[in-house]
Amino acid sequence: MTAARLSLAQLGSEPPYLNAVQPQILWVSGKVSRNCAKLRVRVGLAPNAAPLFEGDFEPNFPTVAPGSDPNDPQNDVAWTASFPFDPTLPPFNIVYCGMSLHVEVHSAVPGVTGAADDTLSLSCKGAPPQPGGGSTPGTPQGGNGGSGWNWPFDSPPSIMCRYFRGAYGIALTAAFFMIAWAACYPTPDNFLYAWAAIGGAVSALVVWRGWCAPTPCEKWGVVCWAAKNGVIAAIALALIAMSAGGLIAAALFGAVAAWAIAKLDQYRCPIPGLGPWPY
Amino acid sequence: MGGWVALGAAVGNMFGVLFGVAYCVLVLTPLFGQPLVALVASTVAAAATLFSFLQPALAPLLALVNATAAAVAVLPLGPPLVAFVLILLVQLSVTAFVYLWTEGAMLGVAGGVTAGPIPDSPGQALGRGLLFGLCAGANLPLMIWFAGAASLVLSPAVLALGPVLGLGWLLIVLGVFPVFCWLLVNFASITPLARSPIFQGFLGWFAWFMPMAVPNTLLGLAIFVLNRLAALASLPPVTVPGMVFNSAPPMTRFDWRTGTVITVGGWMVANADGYNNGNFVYVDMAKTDFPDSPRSVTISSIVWHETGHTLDNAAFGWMFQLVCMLSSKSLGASAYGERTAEGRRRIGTGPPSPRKYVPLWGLAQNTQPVAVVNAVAPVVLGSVVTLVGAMNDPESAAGSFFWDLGLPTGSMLSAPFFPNPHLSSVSFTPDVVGNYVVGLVVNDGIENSANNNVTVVVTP
Repeated sequence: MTAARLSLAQLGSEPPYLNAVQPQILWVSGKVSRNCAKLRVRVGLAPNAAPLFEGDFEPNFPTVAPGSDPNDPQNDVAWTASFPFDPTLPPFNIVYCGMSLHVEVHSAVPGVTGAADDTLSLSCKGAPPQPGGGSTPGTPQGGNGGSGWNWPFDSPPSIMCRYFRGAYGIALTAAFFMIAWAACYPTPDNFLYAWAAIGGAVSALVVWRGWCAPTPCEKWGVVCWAAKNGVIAAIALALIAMSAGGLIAAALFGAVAAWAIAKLDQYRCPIPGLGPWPY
Repeated sequence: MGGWVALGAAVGNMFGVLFGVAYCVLVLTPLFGQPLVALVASTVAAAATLFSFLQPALAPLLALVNATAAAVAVLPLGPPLVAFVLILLVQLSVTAFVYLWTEGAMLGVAGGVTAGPIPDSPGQALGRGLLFGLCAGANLPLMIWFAGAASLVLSPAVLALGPVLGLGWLLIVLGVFPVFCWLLVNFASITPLARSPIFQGFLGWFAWFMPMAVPNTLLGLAIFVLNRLAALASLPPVTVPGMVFNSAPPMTRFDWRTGTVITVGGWMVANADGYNNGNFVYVDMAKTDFPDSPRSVTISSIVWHETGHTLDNAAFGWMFQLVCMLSSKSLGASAYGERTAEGRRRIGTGPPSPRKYVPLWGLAQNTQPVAVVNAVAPVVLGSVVTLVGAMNDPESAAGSFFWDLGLPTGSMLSAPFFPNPHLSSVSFTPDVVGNYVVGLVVNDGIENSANNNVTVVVTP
């Protein structure tokens, strides 16, 4: 029995995404030594759960440089296993960007041992690495779906996503604040400002969703964070203005935060707390 | 059962509105000059009288509270206090009667049940509806009255808009919010809605405004303040029957799911894992996370149970909570209010609880599905083997299938072994003689079944 070196690197997906959010292909990448010509890859929800995806793959082994030892770790090759699927059919309809999946890779060559496993997050922000040649997985190249015009900046398009997320968070928090302000000081002008702030938040959301593929964790996490801060702002304004309307607004924002937490629980996402921006 | 709940809610609403209007006409309106002081003083007096029967060691303190409240309420007010007490006693009696009827209907059916959910019955459903209706009906006129008073006292700008924006605006301010809260409590009669965490968020947060829930919350606020003052004064630990007063400094958390303030530790903790007063919960740190405890209760699981009481208080009112507390002295965890709260704990965290529950706020107990695979007679090498799977589940008709294949020595079959391992029926062609182990796991959308293995014997 010989031992192979096996490792896992990344779990990801690539465009096109169904409805711009659901992955339709899942890829796993890693590295393997040259004495293992076949790998069995399993991807599931948990270590002991039945696999969602399973398959045997044969890595592509480029020619070793003359004079170098094929068994040298620096001649290990990168491999990528792809699993296309239909996200409208169960059980694949539960797969979404950002979810954690358990990945296992074993040697499928008789007489060769080797295994690796890890819990990885499904990333939808980069292209799969090019296998072979001992290279490391490639850097993200953006997943904007192709807009047909030249990107004018040096950074890849996907890096703007975190700014769009931040803009939405700020706009939504501002909307909560203006609603509380209008509830405490109910004048026609303040109602107008509140509607304008709501419009700004909706616009920021449309831009973010249209440009990026935010995960449910991100979408609901931002709502949760903004609503929690909205509750604090509304209570403070209500105490200053001695307004029952402000207190009612605080309760409404609290119910919105509870709604967002219910969604975060459903997708098994971390729940952001009060305080600094969590992303 | 939905029909019984709806019937109960309709009748309960009628009685509730009657009580609420009686309060407004006979008590609150004559006291308009000082409504809050009079109402709080009268309520405190009544509550203190009742509590002194429950906590004899606190009787001297409660007598002092009683005397102060009576002096404030009785001397300048006169007859309205009598009217208040009479209406309160009648409402409390009706609530207690309905509660005990509901509990009796539940216990009668649950005679042979040792754990798990309590089957619903017409009596229990009717009682539950009556309780929802009593609370919602009483809330409506009281909220409208308080909305009017609050608008005059706290938000004169709102009424100033009346001439500008018209009578409709005034009706919106005074009417929409109370009607919204009235609907919220009545919607708890719809079981799928009651189990929705989104609905529970609205119910818990808006309970801060519901007159039938606020008295309990005010008591919780008073204990919260006492805990803080005791911590500042470093009061020594005291033990009295039924209560533990320790000197551990309290930690404060907040449950955003229900708008509840959680205090862990502190001077006043009950001789239990924790207790609830409206939108305030108190957890005894010393009762949790004991490694030797067979229950291994965690703070999180206590909070899930106690916030179930928050929802009970919002939907059934403070009188329900009072009767529950009295009945739990003799019935313990079997009291109806304890079981409804325990139902919420089923969707929380922590190890499974052996306590019985009413699945009002929590998901019904899920039955683990069973994977079924047809038996396959020995086949000759080269034959196609077809396996048909099924899921046995009393709650779900559809599920997901996960097939796997174990190979005998020498087989060169490679994964994926089936073109689609998630169909209900799969086939494969063995390549060597031997025993192939086919495994099936099914998922009903909530949990996996155990693995069902079938051995396929392949002969030459």
